[in-house]
Amino acid sequence: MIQVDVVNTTPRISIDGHFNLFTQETPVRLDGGVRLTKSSDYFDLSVPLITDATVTITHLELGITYPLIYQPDTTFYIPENPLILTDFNSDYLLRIFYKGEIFESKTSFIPVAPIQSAIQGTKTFRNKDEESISFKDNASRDDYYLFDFGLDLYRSFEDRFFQGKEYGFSYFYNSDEVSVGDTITIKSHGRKKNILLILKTF
Amino acid sequence: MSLISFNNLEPRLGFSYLLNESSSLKASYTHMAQYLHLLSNTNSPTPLDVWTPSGPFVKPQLQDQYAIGYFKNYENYSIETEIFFKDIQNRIDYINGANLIANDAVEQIILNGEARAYGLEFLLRKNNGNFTGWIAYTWSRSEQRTPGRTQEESGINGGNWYFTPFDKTHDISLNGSYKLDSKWSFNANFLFQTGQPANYPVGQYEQRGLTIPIYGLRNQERLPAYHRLDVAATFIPSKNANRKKQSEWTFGIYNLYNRKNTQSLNFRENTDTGNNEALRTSIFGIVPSVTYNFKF
Repeated sequence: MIQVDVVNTTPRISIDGHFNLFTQETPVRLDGGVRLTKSSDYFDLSVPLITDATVTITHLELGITYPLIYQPDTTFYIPENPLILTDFNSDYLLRIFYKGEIFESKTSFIPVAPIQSAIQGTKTFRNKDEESISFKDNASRDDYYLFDFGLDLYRSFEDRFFQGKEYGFSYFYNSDEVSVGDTITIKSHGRKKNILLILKTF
Repeated sequence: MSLISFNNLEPRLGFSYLLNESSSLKASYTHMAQYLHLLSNTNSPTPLDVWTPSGPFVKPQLQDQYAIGYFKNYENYSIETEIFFKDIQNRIDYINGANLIANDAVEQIILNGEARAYGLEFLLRKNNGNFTGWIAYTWSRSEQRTPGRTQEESGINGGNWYFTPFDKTHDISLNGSYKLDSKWSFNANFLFQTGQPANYPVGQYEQRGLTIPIYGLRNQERLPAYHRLDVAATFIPSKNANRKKQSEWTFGIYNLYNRKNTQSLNFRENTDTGNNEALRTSIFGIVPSVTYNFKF
């Protein structure tokens, strides 16, 4: 390891926005939000948080704009009431005002079929341990799934071959990733087709 | 059946004009075509370097080289100087983010551009006496330009000139040999070369809890300069008149001051501390050696 002088660029804003809504829970639970950071010098130990931006989200069908409030404990900007985000038939506009600049992005929420079961299996594959997942696909739409197995492990696929059917698959964890007694959280996300295609290239 | 054929003439012209008995002027022109292209995004040669042939999407690389030189001999010294200029067409480079290894469609990840190299070479040599040696200095630039194919494509570095990985702005070589007597002689060799152009990260940002490096424009930074000093002493024992064998011992030290010259630099996140760090790979530090030669 050596000391190297590197050139540093002007800090840029980094917008990390993701809203995961658990609509089948009561009350509806929101995971995520908008996290704003600035880029930093390469050898800095952390990136600076932006806590003083004005962040709003607009329900474009209703034309109503809601503020997102900064939460110091999670470092996310989130709405006061997550129910404003549960309309799957409308686009939403995220807008960020920061130091005279405006950043905008428009998207809609994508529903996803709930996971029916997640069971630790007994099979092994190349010394990896099995986790067996099943869910029932929604027949009324084309679905693009992104499964988040925790530990930055993802798997994506589409429902072309099991439209409207119950579908099960196995995921295998390396033994150095999980050990006996660990709790694993597995999430299923709905994604747009173009996002899934980007994810498949990685 | 052939996909495509190329035909190129490769003329080479050389002129020498004697100004007087001890000095001369030389000039040359060379036109060459190269049908095999190296695609590498590493700073050091590896077995995984990708070579791609010319074809429907990759034109042959064409090079015109011009050089003018002046040579002068003195009683014990000689001076050689040369100015050169190379103009290269169809020089390819890979696009940002390209994956070169096991890519079966490299034409989709490369752009055609041009390159140029120019410089001045100077060599002062002492040819006679107990002390002989030379001083060589080259100042040169090796640059390329890779514009996009359309107005929307920015190309590499915005379509501006940038250093090729082969650029060595300063290249200095000193060599001296001293013959003490019929048995002992000493030799020293010093090299200095400007560091190879490279890409360093210029910042970092965070997404989904992951820290991602930001890299600047291509080849804007340089590896640390390369230099080293080698010394050697050669001992020739008296020859035994009854034997045909003539032996010779050489005691040498490569890289006398143990310079850790950088072969490559890797920027990475330390998995234990989570901090970014730079890791240098150096191949040879100080290397003492003893060589025994014999002739028969």
